[in-house]
Amino acid sequence: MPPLVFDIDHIKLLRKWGICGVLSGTLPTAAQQNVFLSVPLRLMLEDVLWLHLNNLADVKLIRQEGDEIMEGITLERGAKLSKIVNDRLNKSFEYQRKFKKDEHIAKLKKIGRINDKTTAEELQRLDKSSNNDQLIESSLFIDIANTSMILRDIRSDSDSLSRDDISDLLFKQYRQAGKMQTYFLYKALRDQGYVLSPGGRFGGKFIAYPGDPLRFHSHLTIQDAIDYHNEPIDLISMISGARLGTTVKKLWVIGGVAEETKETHFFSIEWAGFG
Amino acid sequence: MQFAGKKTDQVTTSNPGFEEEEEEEEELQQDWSQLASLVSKNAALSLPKRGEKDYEPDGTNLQDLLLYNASKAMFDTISDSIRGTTVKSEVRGYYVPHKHQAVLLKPKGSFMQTMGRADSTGELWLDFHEFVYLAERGTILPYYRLEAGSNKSSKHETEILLSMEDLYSLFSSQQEMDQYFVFAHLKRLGFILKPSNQEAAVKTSFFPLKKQRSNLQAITWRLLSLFKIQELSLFSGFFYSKWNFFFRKYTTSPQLYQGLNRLVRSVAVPKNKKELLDAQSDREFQKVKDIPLTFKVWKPHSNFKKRDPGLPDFQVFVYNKNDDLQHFPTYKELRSMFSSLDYKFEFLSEIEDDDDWETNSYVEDIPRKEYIHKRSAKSQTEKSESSMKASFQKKTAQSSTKKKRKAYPPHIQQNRRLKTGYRSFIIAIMDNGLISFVKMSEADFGSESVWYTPNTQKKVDQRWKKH
Repeated sequence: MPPLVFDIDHIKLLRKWGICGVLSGTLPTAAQQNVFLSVPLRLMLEDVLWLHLNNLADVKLIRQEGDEIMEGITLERGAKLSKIVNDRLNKSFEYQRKFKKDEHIAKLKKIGRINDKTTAEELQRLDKSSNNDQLIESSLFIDIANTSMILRDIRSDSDSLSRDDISDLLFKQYRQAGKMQTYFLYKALRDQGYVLSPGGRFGGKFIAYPGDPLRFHSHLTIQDAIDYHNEPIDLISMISGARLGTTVKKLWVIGGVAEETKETHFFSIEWAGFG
Repeated sequence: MQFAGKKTDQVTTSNPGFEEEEEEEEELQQDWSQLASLVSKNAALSLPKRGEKDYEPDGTNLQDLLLYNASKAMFDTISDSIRGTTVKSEVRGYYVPHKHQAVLLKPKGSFMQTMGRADSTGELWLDFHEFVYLAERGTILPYYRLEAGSNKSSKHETEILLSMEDLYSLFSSQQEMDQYFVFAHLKRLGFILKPSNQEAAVKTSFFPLKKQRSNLQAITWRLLSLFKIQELSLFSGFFYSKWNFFFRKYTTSPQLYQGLNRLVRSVAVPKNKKELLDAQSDREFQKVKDIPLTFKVWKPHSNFKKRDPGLPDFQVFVYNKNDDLQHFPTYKELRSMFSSLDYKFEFLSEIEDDDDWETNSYVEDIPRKEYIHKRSAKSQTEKSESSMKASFQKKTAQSSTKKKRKAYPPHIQQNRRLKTGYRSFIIAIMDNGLISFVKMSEADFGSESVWYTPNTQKKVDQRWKKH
């Protein structure tokens, strides 16, 4: 499953650390467009690896299917969860009722129907005559929470795993061993202050921004890691990538990790105007 | 290949097209509710606009301030956009694990026109991706109801309002989630989507019902189709070898080019209705294993019927480039996908408008138009039949005045044929949450004549007139 983040505070924190991800959910106030979206935030596997290896995230491994988790809820626990949700909603309703009544009183004062001398009994009479309470009850808003209470309590299989075990599991998401080196390209660019996003639209693995994508353009299209000492670089791929880079104003960058020194090296190709 | 659907820098304004949205807006404008205070009435205008960007950090306070403002606007909008609905408009959807679907006991709302299936008891069943989509935009409230079990004496069943994280944890695979993201993307743009593996109650196809053929016919057809597809000739080896130039005299350049064109093998691409039907017949004998396309897509229109939707306008295949369990379709797989296409082929010049499509698509081997008339005739009285005849005559009169397709010069038509191609479908490529849409088309470069042929007769006439 792709890694998703649902907590807005967590998304803010990730952004401070230079992980922007891709917002993928419908924005309910503007539900008919795709430019501005809302939670969940979808991360790349490299983001999760970086967070885990830098001790910035707790990785919990849940082997159960979602349906199993649902069917595993006992009546006792279900009643508890239901009460928590209902308490939250009732608290929200109480706040909404107070807010609407205060707004109503302010409106009445503004149009002059009541003033500071109006008694509580007269207010109640006005409310009854205009069905204010009934209207308020029908207009209360039931909100759907972003984060989960059910998953929070689930016992994790990773409680008995060490951090190295979790790292191995994450690296195994690269089903091809050669692609594992891509994470080290990611890490090297992160260490230089770049913010990385998916680069499939520009013919690469990542695109790199010199800061927050809200403020900066990206200049680099990063390919998957290659063993540049041994692997051939396909000329047609290089030409295609460099030409596409010229069109979209990005350098075509390839890189790899030296086996002996574990150093990361990058090479950029740009279409020259000679000839 | 063409890239389509890229994000643009233009600000998209919210333009609700559904009655429910308008009702909700009216309610919000009437009531001084909490939502109105949190989100501006002009919701679209409060969205953060895509401003200008810098090329590199310059370390100034101005740049930091601009970034802070942009970030604050983004997170304020996300926080203020609360998902949910008012008590008055409450619609509850209950997730049913063993079916991986959701049921609406008291359904209401305009979404029912395009989503869900009603059962005999009047309850509406939603596919899981429809369920998540409607919950995400606040149209329905997602619930999970615990079974009573041994404690049947309890009066109230326990219901839990699910969060978005709960819903996303219920996806059965990464592929299903990727398909959901593409579904939601196109739904937000207004398209109507149905999974390709779901058939409506009234199934419409461009192709008539397949007929059973005898073995002898099968063998004969196979032999004929072999020559047809490859446009081969038994004599091509002899007539178009080097000896050909000794026996045949070429007097004009076009003859040379046409000869070369016949010499080179190429795959014939269906270009008209007859060839499409023939290709469909050929496909029966090839028995190629199909890679199923993911979605059928209809353009938004108010007359859509779930029971009888008609031919789709597009077909979409969803592919995740970072999922090593998937691979990009091979050439053979692409060919089989092209041969399995069944939608409104927009390149057919014989079919000009939707009324023509009603005549040229089939329901149970009957033209769709006849099927509709036959079905409506059953429920009509004799008086209504006479009025139907009158309306039919009106339609006939109207059809004679319909606008013909705009004619283009031959060289523009040629360029379009090569660039746009003929049969096509859309691949939605998922890249860690970013979706790119790529149109895959069949273009016939092999037999398309790309040379200019002057109109010699016209020139001769002109010369004669001058003389």
